[in-house]
Amino acid sequence: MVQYEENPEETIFKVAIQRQDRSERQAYVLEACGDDRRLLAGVEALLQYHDSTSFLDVPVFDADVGPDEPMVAGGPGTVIGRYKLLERIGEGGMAVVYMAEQAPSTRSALFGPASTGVLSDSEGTIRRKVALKIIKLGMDTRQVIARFEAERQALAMMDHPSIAKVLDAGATETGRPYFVMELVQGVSITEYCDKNSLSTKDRLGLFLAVCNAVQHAHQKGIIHRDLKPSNVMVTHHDGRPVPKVIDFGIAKATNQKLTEKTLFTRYAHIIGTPAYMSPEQAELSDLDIDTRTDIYSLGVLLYELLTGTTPFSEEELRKAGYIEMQRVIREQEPARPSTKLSTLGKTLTDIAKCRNSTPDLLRKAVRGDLDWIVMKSLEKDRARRYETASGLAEDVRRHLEHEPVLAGPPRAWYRTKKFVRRHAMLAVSLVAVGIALLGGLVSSMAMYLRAERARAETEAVTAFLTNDLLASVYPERAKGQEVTVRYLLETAATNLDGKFSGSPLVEAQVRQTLGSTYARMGDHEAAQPHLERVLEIRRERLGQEHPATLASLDRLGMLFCNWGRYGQAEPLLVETLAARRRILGERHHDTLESMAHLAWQYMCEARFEEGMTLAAEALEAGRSILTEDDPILLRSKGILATGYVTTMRHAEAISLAREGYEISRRALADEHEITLFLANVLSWALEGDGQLDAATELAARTVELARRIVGEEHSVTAWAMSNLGAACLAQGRYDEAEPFLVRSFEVAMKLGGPDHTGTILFGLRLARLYHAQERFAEHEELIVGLVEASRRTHGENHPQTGYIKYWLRIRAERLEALVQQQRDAGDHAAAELTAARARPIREAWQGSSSERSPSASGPSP
Amino acid sequence: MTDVTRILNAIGRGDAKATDELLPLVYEELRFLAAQKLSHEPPGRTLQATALVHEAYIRLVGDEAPGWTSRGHFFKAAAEAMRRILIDSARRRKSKKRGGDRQKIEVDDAIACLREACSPDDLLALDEALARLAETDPVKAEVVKLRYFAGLTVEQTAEVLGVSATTAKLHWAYARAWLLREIG
Repeated sequence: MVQYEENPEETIFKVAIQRQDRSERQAYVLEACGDDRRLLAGVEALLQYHDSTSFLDVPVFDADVGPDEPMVAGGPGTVIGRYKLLERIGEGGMAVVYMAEQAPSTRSALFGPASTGVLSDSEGTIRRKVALKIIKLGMDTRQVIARFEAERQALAMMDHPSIAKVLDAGATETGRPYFVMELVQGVSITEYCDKNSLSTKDRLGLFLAVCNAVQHAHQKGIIHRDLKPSNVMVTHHDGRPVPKVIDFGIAKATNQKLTEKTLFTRYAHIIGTPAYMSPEQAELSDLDIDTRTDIYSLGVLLYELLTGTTPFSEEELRKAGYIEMQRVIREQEPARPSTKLSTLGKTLTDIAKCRNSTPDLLRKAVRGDLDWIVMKSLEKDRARRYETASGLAEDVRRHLEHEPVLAGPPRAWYRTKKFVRRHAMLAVSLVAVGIALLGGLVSSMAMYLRAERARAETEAVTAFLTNDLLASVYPERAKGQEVTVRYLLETAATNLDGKFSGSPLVEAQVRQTLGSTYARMGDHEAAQPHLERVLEIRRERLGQEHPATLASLDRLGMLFCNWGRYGQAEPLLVETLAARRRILGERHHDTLESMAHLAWQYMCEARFEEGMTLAAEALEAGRSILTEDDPILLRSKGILATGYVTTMRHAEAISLAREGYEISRRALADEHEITLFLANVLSWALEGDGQLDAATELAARTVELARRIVGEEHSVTAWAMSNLGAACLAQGRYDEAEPFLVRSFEVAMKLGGPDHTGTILFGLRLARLYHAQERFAEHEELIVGLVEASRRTHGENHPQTGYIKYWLRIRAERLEALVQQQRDAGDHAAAELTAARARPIREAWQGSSSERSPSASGPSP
Repeated sequence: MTDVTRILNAIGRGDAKATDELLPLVYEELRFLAAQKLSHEPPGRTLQATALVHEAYIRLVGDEAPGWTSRGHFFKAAAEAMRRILIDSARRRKSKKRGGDRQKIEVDDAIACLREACSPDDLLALDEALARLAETDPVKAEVVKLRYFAGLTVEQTAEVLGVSATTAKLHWAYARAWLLREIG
């Protein structure tokens, strides 16, 4: 064997294949073989075979069962679709990658005319080189391609210097799926950092760029699902290292649903990169991978950049066996990066050297902020991770600039401990109830009580739950403890099933509390099943028209309304109001509440007249039976004032909103939800009226308060941020406006989706900023998306749609004028590009659907 | 405890003879599974060596998960068994003389209708070249068996052989090119 290792042919071959650059490789081989012609011929033959595909590339059995055809495309020279293979540049567990050449005539057919980025960098006759990735393992090619097609639009929208574009997909003649990507020649980010001994600071700089790329993709609705060092390459651009994330869209397209049945088949794939797999991916359920899965993988990547190892080593995971591997990923807390460094022993010196540091300095650099940032990204419960990649990037940036980071020491316990210390009494009962819910004690207690003195005391139990325990999460009552309570809520919710089988009404009340609490925290999805079940139970037990049934109907309606699901909300709220009017009469507290709620629903749907009429009605009737600080009155004032702003009656809006705001502050406190709501209405009205300083000041205060009370990902906070941004924008302070406008749009998009009224409003403000900053490409992309959303939500003839169309028209006409100028100047290539860019904007402006009915702006009642 | 678990434990204790006991068990199991899969799976479905080997492992060893080292022994045996199954089948198909054993016929039929990576000729040529490689360099021959016949990834192969992934990758690249050059 020793003799074999010394075989010069083998040695030269192995060194040669590790050289990426062809000419470098060639030069090495020539020099290494010297005068030995036979040796040279042998090595060259080996290299030639190395570069070609063969039957050995796919394990012998990994063939599709079906009619005869060869397995894998031939080597270089083979033409696949519109591409000619040039050379093999890589091979992984499931794919072979070739450098390929694209036929010049076909480039524009790949995309809609909007993607000027693709067009402009492949000029005329230059044959564009691409990377072509052929999937080796047996997969249902049609499904893979169908899944890719489903994402193609979104993929084409991605345009970011750190994202390698995925250009095309198809099937080879042998039925293998393939993907065509922008060619990236570089090395993996970890390899790059180590080879160049990048310091921790420089590594963080590269990592920030990766986060930004991922954020960009997330904004286009693309989740990577397979982020790992080999998918983050580093290339040099103008002498600067630029990370490039590759393979966007591919994991999703090739990801078959994982089930027990396919588990064995998929085993090899899963085993490929378990170290980067998020707990929810390890579940194999594949139900709900979302952007936070990528946050987890980014956390692992950061961990590795800092420590040279992953939180759980591949080896450890693979040794553990499959079930154990799942358990570790789902349950085991990884060591903090600084702790991990301490356990590395001798290798730590090498790792530190790769980071241009010493073991002590490296540990010190990582301990604290970076530990926490990493651990927050790696939270098992994704609700506790950073919500967005930019949130993660922001914290890294804060660390680099020596600002305090948002991530804190490990969550659950730390928070609970702190909570217990601050609220000793409450905590005792809280733990007691937590345990009671867990052990089913509440149900047995409820049954016992029912048998004895039933009702009154059962209600006392749930009242305790409602008022003393869970209500503490209501933002205005408990400032900042929601994480802990959330944990208890989840425990309670998961243990609720079957515990109250003897006393459904108690169950209903507990669920009502759970559901309302989730709803208040902005977790609509978690709230929905509880509130639906409550309605079901009460309908069955108490009848359709019982006040408690109607209360749950109202709750569910408002849940959908705040969620942006207006179509589902409206019938529920209409039904509640009608029933309350009938049963409780016009001048009843609950009836007025329903009027205010339905009024808000109409405002959200941009049915302003109906909303304003109803709010005015509630206000009028309420004045005689409610005190001036009643939330219903205050809310109605806010709604009516919102209506005045949208109809440009700013003076009236300001006066009404200010009145309500002052009362609310005095009676309910600054941080009360309704006070925040009224502050938003007021600052919006002030901005509309041109009182920019006052608007800015109030909005800034509201942003600060809302962030603290309800967190950044809340509609109230988003609105406040957008108002602040808009006020800055109006004063020409673009740089200040930008983060607020971007973030408010993100939050609204996340909470309510693209068609939410708030998303459209905040998006339009952001689009105006882009226009003011002359970032026209971003502006165009945004308004095209917004007009579609507005058509869906508001209808073609609605003022909001009209306003967006106004921006589209400005842009389309400007570009068309430019086309003319370019033609006159004889620059036909440029003119063509500009025309291609103008076309989708004009199409979006004129719309293909002028027959669409103005669904939302119906007649006023 | 299953037979195979017992044998694996014996191998783990250094009982070299136990290795001889392992192969026939694994061989039979794999052939049975292959026949079953191939005759029951509808066309268009995928049959993978790695899936087969893992399933055999679960059936023979169960979920007792005796650690990677003994699993490594299992995979080596499985790779060898797969090689024999396929080469036997290729031989019989080539000579068109089939054995009388019903199960064997099923396997052969099924394998024959596989849209296979290579013809029986390729497979037999590969096996001869592989035998030559094994004489001079048994480790690389093992790499080829594990990768090609048992469908293991480079990383898994590295684990089984107790070498680094980089080494396994380079071994595989060299062995692959070397074999292709031999076959011509």
